[in-house]
Amino acid sequence: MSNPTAAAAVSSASASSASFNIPQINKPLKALGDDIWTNKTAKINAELFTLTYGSIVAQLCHDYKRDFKRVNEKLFQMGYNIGNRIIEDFLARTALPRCYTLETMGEVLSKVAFKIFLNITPKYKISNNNNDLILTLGENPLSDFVELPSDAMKDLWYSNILCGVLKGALEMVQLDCQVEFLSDMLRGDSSTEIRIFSLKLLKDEIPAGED
Amino acid sequence: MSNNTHPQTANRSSALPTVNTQQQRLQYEQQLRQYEIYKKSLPTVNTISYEYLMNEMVPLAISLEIEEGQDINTSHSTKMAQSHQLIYQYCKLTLPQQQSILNRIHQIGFGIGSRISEMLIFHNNPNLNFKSLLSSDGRNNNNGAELLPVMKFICKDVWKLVFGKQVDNLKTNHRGTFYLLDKNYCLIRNFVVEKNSKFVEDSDDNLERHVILKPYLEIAAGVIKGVLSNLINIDTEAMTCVYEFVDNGVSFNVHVPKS
Repeated sequence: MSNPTAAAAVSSASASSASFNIPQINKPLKALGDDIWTNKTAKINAELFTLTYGSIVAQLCHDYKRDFKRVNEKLFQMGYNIGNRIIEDFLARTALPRCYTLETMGEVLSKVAFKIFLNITPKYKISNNNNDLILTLGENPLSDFVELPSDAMKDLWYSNILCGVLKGALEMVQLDCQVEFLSDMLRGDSSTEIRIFSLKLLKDEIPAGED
Repeated sequence: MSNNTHPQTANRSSALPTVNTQQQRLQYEQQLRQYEIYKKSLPTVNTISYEYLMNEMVPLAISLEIEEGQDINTSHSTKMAQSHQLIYQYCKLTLPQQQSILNRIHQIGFGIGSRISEMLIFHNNPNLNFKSLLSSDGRNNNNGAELLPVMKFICKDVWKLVFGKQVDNLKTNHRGTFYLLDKNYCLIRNFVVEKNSKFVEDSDDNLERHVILKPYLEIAAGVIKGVLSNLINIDTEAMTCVYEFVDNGVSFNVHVPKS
């Protein structure tokens, strides 16, 4: 399939399995996210989280001698590895079925995923002819009280780890996609936006051997 | 922790402010209540997000070291390996490489330690009192007795925040050496190292385990040093913090020389 919309890819997949009873999301997602966050989540001081991430980014910038493009890449990889594993926790906690439209995916990501892991609910919108999902982060616990030095403003995507996590997690539920930052308030933009695009449904494959 | 502290040290310089009169007691209780309310009002995130971040630190440092050994042009495009593979690769690296990974992790820990010590102090915890740190002429003074409140601060507040529990036992020889025993160090609590794994060629399981776990302990060593460097006036190079596995946990041995 060459770059179909997620909805189209999903409809063809669901057509082939029409005889099965496809589980639908019938719970109100906001209530679900709020309930898991308030009642079933161990919490930790957000400042500690911010400072820990800050120390990691600082060390990376130092190691790559302020080559911020490589820092972005490394943060993405780091996030990818986290996303690969964090999705399991997400599914175990929420027991949500597959999302069949981009709209539901946006809603699940924003009201459940971001809510239970970071306690934020980004706004989402669908653009580019139903192909892209754009998440707008009002607040971002990774970058609280962070100020970028002027040389980093141009190239560094400070919270790029989030893109990696999204990519890694979505890949584990058979959604291949690309994730990138469109803008970041740390760089002086008016909002912080993440774009998820070129979604493709992965076929079931035997995972590549580890040896 | 307080039950296990060295008996000699227990009443020598308590971290609690002296509570004499009824009025002071009331004032202290009110401060404590306000502190509790303040703590609850702080924003929070899921502990799991934090734990993943902490755990991912080690493979990150290892992959940086491996990349350094390679040509930049080739490594630029290669994908980073999975975290668990990187951790196993750690054993196969040479000693200087391992040391450089440890240094890197130490630096990150140091950054966390020095930053959170400021954060904790500005939270106005009424149980914190570092007055004994200042000698009569108002200058920093760091012989063994004055270090104790700082070490207690590390064992209680810092450890509780960063690792979710307090240090189980603190011992000191009153000459600048402290032993912090953690019976259930949180970063390695859930670890399982496969026996006879294809990643581990050495059959000496115990040794492998220790080598693999070292980077995770280095984080704590970095945090300890970061806090100390922020609170007492001493050259960080002169301080040492080594760790070892003892029967019932991990022991961090901190030595701060007299200036």
